Amino acid sequence: MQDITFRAMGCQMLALLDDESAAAARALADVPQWFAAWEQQLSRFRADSELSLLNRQGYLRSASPALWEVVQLALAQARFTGGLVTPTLLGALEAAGYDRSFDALTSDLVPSVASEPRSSLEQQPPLQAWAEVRCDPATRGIELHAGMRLDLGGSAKGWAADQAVHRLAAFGPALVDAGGDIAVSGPQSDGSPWPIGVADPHSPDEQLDLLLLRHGGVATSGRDYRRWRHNGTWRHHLIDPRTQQPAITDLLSATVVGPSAAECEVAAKVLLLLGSRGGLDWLEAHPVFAGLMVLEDGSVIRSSRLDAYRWRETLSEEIGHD
Amino acid sequence: MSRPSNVKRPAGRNAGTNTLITAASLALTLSGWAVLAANEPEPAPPVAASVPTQTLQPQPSLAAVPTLVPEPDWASLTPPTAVPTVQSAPTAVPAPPQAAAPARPAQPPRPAAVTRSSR
Repeated sequence: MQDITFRAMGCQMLALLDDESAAAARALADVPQWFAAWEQQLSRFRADSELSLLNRQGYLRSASPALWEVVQLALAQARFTGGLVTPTLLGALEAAGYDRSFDALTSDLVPSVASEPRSSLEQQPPLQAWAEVRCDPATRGIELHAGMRLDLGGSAKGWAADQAVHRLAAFGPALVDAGGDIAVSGPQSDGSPWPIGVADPHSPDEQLDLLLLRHGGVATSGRDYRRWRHNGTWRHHLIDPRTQQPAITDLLSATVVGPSAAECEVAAKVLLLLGSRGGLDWLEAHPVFAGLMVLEDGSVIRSSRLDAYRWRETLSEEIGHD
Repeated sequence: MSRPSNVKRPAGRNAGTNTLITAASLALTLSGWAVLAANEPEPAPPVAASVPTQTLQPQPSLAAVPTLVPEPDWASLTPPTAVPTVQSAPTAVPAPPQAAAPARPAQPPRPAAVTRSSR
């Protein structure tokens, strides 16, 4: 087993290849460059990124393949979730104080200054705003509605994990962890599944579950880490498009297993936005997913299909109840 | 040197002479011991006197035998702070027959990765 760790997209990254060859080692060494290139195209925090250019101009005549793919993915996710998870909430994110990278946000010792809501906040589009993004597959042209700007944060990370693991699979069984969004190419070389821990948001060094994954991905979304004080109150990065505010539900985090890291990432966000009751209903209604939700009070709710992925023996005493 | 009268001689050794001692009066005991001493067999001459003395010389090949196990680096070893106390061996008690031991719970594999909210 060979591995490489690095930081990209504001997160800790890990890539594993279950192969000892020199070719596998060279492929792993290239992974940080892949992520650096994607970040240069997809980051809203870089003024010279391709996404920032799109947000400034409102259009791109011919987007790069990576930006085109991620925008299409984000729009498909918005369609799939009825606009609940949408790339069109950048204005609300900035109004909540998430106007720079999270690393910069947390290293800023000066408390956030109270500010008036930006005018863009008052003009936030409704749930169907994503439908206002016009795309031309023939030219990879993208045109935004007037005043609209995109944030591809979560979609980009999940997509990058899937993309990287797809590339690495040519050299052996692979796993890529993009800041908690994890994709695997298939079973390990001995045929066994990849063991993947689920961190306890209340005690990050502890694990709630050990999942065994042969294909697809797993992702966790939560408001336990990416949060900050803004205008005297705690805010986080999961914006509810219905309120244009950081979502307030009974959930602290949600973990979803499914066909790919990108799909799991958006499903986990849906659970966070819906809360435990609506989230469990949503999970059970979508058979490609399984998951668990951690509530503010520490209790854990698991979907019925998650048992198919859990390691047989209980790792430790359950937190809360099933 | 006189010998105490309560010293028991090994049975069977000079048995005939001991029978005579038993029959003698207590007054003759000391003289009886003298007779006994006179009847002790002469010590055998030293064997060494009849065997030519040879001085054994160390075999040069013995010193040349290499040490199979490398010597530890004694200087680097930390001397024990306390000499372990020798414990008396516990009395071995045969374990009662038992049913097959229950299977130990399987150990979970070490996670290859951990999913958590982005950080």
